[in-house]
Amino acid sequence: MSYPQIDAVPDLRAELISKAYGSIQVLKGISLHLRPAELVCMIGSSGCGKSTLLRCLNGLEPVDGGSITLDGAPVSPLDLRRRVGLVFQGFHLFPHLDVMGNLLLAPGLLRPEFTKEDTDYAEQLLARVGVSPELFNRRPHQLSGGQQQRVAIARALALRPDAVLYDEPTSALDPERTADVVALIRDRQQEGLAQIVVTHDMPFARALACRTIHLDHGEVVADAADLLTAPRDERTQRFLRACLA
Amino acid sequence: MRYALLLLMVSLAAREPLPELTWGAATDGNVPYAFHPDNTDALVGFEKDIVDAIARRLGRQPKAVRNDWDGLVPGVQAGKYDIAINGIEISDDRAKEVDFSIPYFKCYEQIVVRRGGPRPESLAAMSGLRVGTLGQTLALELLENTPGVEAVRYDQELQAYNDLATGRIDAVLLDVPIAKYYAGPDPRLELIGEPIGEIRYAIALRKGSALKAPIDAALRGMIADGELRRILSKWDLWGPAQASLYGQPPEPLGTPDGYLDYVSRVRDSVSWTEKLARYFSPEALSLLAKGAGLTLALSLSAMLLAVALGLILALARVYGPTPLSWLAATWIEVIRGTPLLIQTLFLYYGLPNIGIQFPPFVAGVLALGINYAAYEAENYRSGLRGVPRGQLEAALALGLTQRQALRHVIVPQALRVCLPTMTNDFISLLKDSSLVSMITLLELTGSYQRLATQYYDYFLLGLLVALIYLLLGLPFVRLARQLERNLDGDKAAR
Repeated sequence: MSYPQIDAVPDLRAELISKAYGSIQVLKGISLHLRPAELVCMIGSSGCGKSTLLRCLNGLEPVDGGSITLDGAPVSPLDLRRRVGLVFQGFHLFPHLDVMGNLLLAPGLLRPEFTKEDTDYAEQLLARVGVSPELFNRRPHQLSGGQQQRVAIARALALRPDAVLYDEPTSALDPERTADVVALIRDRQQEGLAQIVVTHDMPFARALACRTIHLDHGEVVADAADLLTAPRDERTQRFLRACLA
Repeated sequence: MRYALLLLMVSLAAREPLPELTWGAATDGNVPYAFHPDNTDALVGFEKDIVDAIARRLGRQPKAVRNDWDGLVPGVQAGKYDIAINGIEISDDRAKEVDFSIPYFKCYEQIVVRRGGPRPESLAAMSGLRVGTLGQTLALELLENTPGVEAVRYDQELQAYNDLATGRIDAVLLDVPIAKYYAGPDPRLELIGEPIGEIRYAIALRKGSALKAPIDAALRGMIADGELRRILSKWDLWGPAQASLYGQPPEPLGTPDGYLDYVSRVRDSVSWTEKLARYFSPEALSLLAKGAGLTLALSLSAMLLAVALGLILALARVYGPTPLSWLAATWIEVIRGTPLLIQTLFLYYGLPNIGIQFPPFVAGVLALGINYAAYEAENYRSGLRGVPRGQLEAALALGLTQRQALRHVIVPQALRVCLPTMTNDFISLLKDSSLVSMITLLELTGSYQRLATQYYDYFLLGLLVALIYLLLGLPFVRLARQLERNLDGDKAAR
């Protein structure tokens, strides 16, 4: 079975972005470059700004300073939201729509040329993330946590985004399901999609085995492919020791 | 053969419709002017007989148009009917608004008291008493100009005499025909005292109406050949006053069949079972069914408006920019903080002053709909607030605009939560719709009033009408329960 290639040409670049909520400076000038088909893992203690960074990269939160570009061109928050998918920690599936409805809502509203092809594409997406056809007409509350997550990922992919961001994708799952999520993300990488995964689940992060960024107090502390196995920065070493304890 | 053809031509000629003579009258209660005996659609009364006679003399087909008494003269001006005839007194004020025919009736104001109560025999003697009458009458004017009298204004003659009989007021001052028919047969009441004031009834026509001359001529003809005397005698309204007006003999002509028939209907003491049988007569039931139908149509239309307008208000309040949100909040508070009755009267009787005129049904739907929209808006507001914030974020993160997110994600979920309360509000609206009987709509409560004034019974009829309201609301109560059950079921499965 052959799938259509995700036509992703992502070169997502954030330059010195900053963000404050009131007097609290959550992001203090973060720069980040996400290359095509690249998988990046982002770790850090609670409140370090991981989730806020994702929301800024998706365009859900406007940034106070700095710039976000796609393929070198600045993009409006609305365009950013349409081209960079975000999978929420709590999934936030729409409870009044069934599985197909959740996938097709945004394409139906945003693509004037919406056709049968989009429906077919949605079905293929669901098959790719491992949602079987008998679930297509179920409501979210009739699905297990793992199934809900798969649907949430498929929903983020339905608009054919350039990149997908995941916020704590394993937090709502039984530990034995972690391997499924790793496989799911790896498959997307195979398909050429750029992805950022935020987590504080260390076994999960190690299983992803990819370039890893350590975020602390709104700053990038370290950014390396072997960050988890050979941390060089002292703060990263301390953080990893605390995670093991 | 030729004979048959002639016959056909004659019958065709006879079938050609006569031009209409439309006449406005307030035919609810309104004995003995023009009223519905036993709530049939039939119309009888001395003014009905007079109009029939005039129409016959003019070669026209009479057609009655029901209106509120207060609206009769404006109706003539607005051309809703050719003439108005309903005990309309000739007065200088009215003569500025409409033309009058020559008078067809002359009478006085009659004092009616309760047996065993105070017995004022003149206007002056009523000082210190509570005296009932109808609005816009000479009687009301006389009472208000008599020092020490507390004038009590009623909409229905029967209510005034009922209050007199039960001791709520001390006397009633009204035109002789009304007193004769409403108080005369009632053994608890008594007609006393001297004739007060002088009233002449005439037909109201639009200013400059071409009908004035032919109608005056027809009336003169009726006076000359005794037809008017015969009609008024039939209703036992012929006496020295009429005789002096027309220069005719004071003795009645013929038997007072109309009066006797009416009195026999009223005097017959009716048992409860007979009353019940009367309420379940086809006439009464059809009146109540029509009323119930109007109540339901009005309530459903108003609820649709309330649901739509309420949603707009709630969205403006929760998601609108600050000035709009503030405006919506203020509007909601103003509407919730003022009585529905005032809003209804303002819409129907107030707005025409600035040139905005609605038909009664539209005004009723608007008043009820706008009022309930304020309550629905608050209902939605809690529903909208109840949708988790993540839902809006998820929709926005997918690239939907705020408007799309509200329309396709937030509102559908909020509506589901709001449904049971909405259904409750609908039942409440169903009952509040009775207020529109104030603006000429003969809905269920209006039908109740009409039947009650006809049958002299507010008690059993009240129970019957209450039961109908209950039956109208019951399906919606069941619907509410079913919806709540469904929602609970969903929650349990979640």
